Amino acid sequence: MKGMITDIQRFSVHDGPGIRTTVFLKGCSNRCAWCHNPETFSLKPQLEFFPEHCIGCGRCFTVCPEGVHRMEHDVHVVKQELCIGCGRCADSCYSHALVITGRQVTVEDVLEQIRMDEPYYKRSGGGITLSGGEPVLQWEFAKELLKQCKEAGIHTALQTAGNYDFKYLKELLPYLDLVMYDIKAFSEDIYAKVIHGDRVRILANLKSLDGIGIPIIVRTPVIGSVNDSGQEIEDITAYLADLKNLVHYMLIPYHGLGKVKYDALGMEYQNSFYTPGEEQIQQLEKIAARQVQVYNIERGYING
Amino acid sequence: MMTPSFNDRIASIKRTKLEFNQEKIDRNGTYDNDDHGWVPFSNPIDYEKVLEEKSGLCTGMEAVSRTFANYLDAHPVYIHPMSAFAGAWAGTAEVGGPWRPEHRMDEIEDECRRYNIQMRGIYAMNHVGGDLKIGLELGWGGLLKKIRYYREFNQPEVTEFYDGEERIVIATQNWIRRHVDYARAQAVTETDSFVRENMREIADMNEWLIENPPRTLREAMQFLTWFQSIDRMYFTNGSLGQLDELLRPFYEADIATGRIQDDDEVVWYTACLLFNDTHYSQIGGENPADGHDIASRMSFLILEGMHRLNIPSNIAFRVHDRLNEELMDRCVEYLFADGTGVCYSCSGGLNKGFMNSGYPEALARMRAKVGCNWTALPGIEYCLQDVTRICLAKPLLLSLEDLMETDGEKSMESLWERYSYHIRRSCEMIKDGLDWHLEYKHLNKPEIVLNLFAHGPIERGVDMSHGGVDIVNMACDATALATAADSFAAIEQFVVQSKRLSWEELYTVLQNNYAGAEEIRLMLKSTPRYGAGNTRADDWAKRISDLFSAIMSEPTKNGHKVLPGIFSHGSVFMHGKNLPATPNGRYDSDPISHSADPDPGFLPGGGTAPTAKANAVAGVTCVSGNSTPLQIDIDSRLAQEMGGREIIKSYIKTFNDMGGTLMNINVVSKQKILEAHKDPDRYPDLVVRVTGYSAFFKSLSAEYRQQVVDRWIAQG
Repeated sequence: MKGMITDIQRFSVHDGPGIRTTVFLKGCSNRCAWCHNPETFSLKPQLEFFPEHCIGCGRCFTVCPEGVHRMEHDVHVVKQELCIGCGRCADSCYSHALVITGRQVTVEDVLEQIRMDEPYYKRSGGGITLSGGEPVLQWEFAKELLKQCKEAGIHTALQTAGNYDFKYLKELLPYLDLVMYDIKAFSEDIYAKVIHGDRVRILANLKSLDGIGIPIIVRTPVIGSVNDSGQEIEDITAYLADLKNLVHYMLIPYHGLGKVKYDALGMEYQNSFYTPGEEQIQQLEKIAARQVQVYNIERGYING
Repeated sequence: MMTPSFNDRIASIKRTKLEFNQEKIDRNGTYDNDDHGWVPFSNPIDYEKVLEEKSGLCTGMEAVSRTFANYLDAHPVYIHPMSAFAGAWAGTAEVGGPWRPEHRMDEIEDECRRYNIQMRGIYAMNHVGGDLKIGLELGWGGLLKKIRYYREFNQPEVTEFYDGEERIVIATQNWIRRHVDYARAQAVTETDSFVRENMREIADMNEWLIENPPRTLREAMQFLTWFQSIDRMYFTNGSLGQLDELLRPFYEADIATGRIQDDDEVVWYTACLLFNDTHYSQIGGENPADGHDIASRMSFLILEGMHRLNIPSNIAFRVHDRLNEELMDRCVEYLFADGTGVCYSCSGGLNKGFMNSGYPEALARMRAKVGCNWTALPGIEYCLQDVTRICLAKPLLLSLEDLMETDGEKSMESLWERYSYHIRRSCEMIKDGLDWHLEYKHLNKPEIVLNLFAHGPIERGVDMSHGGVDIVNMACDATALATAADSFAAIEQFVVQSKRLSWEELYTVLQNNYAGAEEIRLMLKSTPRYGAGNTRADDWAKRISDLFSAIMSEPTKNGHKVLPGIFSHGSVFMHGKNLPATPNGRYDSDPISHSADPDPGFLPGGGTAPTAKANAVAGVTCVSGNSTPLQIDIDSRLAQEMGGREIIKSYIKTFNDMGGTLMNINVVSKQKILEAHKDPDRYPDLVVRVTGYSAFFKSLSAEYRQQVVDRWIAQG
């Protein structure tokens, strides 16, 4: 069983309880315009180019079968659209100016990394988290990985944005201890403009998930100029209010740290979002707290 | 004037500390070591240095003790008006310098340089833990009586040893007496009623302490400051041992009699103690008999004083299976609040190691963290920690040289065979030096201060380095583990397996310091590193550590034990300056790797992870009882988050579970550390744990600050 991942992050302390290892799976069915992990959009390996690291050795020119690397006006230009993701140029680039994001791994490969930090999970109540991208798109791989973790007594969590047929998520649920479910917006207008996902399906899947009985944390990334209105948060939390297994709700402020990745991938970076201030977040949290338990990572439960 | 609150008093001594720090930098430039609390007095101390007639050197008990007594006689007095205690030291007396010509072992110095051995241990001083309980029970007068009693009882043919020890105690008493006179004079002329009363109390307290043992907590701590000051002045030692247990009986007695009614008073005492010195010592730990935790209210008050003063200090919290959860929680709370705090000495690896070195568990539990990276049995062990190091990387370069000079097969195993030979030779040189040291040190530079606080030297009339104490464990730390391990892995991957380079090409690029070979350097540097987990470099690191540990653990020719550890101190630049380019892509003269830590950016993609780092260090720890410390820098965001404290506690405990020995932690934001590096004056009170010791960031040289910054940058 093989899967396509972008990264395995150890000592991950923001993706569930305790000290965790987070596995980032590649491929996403939402591809939100503000996403700071654009390398996870595609299910395929992609080439990233960091020109500031290039030492001009020229090795990439000789190994690339597709003519991706060119000199134009004495500048190393990467034609991303020609790249087939074979990784030959990145393998030969010791300065790390060229990096392939996305690598195919077996469940055993990932488990080897996970097991390294197993003693910390036990001490801290941590475990593993599957993130992405949308991990459920690779449900077969995810299922096998989660199953083996459960068998090893490792706490398991999933970060998902819900844009898929529920039957795939259902396959994973027997092996999950916690689901962190992103509701990025409620209004149809936002979905139409900046989220590729199917609004109705995302919202319905959350209700279906709640019917199973697994603890759920719902999170909303608060994107300045997109979903940062009180009405939007009120609408989302009204929808959450009757969930039986909601542990808490969290608002996560947008940050614009993804630009360097967009540049490296040759993708256009939409720079029209802003980071909401602390005061605004607190106001939104108060609105949310009228209907659900709200948790702030620095202040804890704000409902008291 | 109103009586200042205890917090006002602490704030006042902190201001003075920051002024002193600036004065030191203005006067002497930056400094990369623990400052140990020395005070920048205005004038140099004018004293007579006594030399031996025969050697013309300050060697031997008589010359050394007379010189040191002269130094104490000339040393100025100091009392901070807001401090609970009198006394401070200006610097070390000039009692160091060369040994007698017939006792020098200089013939191997060239060979040591060849092996990049810069600290041989031989000729070194201190780095031993005293048992302060001896002093607290006897007082200076009692120590004097003890010396005189045993001189009479033993009737030695030559009384030089006892005469010298007596001279030092009398000089100390005289120095204290001058503080009494000064405090009395101040009490007469001082207009501020609090300061006047404080000076009177200090005068009364010290008048008693000249001859008598301490009766109260304040007197006990005052006694410790005198000890620490004279021990610092004599070769810069300073270890207080299990501090909470030393002070607990005094605290409990003061509480019982009602002498102390407000714990804040004790916090003030503790802060004043730490103003006097950074005081290497331990709080929390194990009862020797059954391992139950010995933390007490006193442990908390020491921690509280450290937190409220928040200047460099060197208290360790002992981590073990039955630790005091509340005390640990408080340690981490203050770590988050202050950015640094206690270091975490771990019984998991230390006890197992010491037992592996042949000692019972009860002794392992008693071996307290009382030095930068090191532990010692207070008052019963001569261990000479932290002054002896071998380089693990230079022998690899010598091995490569050997292979290039022969026509034989070149392989990883032939390289390893040569490497083993050179590591053995490094260890032999160290051990021969340590044997020599144990043979002749007492004739040249006796441990005149620590002899007083050990079980045996006075009773036997023998220096602690020469049979005065029952247990002798010499120490040697290895440096440059990651540099060596990553180099082995790079050779294996690119010369032996993929054959991208021939042995000759590798040798040539190293000889040329990678000039014109940047691509090759980057290729070698791209080898999966030590620390990433399950890499070949991890295997090499373990193999190298095991080799060093096995060879160093063999007894010396004279049958002495040497306990190995892996520790570079902060001296990665010093050790790197004499090391040519290495096959891990490191340039000639660049710093070596830090202690047993993987190099910054060791994970694939250039990041790092505290768990990976801790696994790596625990995996290569020498199981000897000596330390292989782990240096960790945590982003302050975690400190602001719910559950962050629990995460760090779990992390430390897991390191202990895995056999770790010592963890040093900083918590600071990347932005702050970068700003402070750029403009140190902007954060004059930023304290960082450089390694086993903490220091004002501002007082560090640009090179040392860079070392801390590099770790942060690698965290991404």
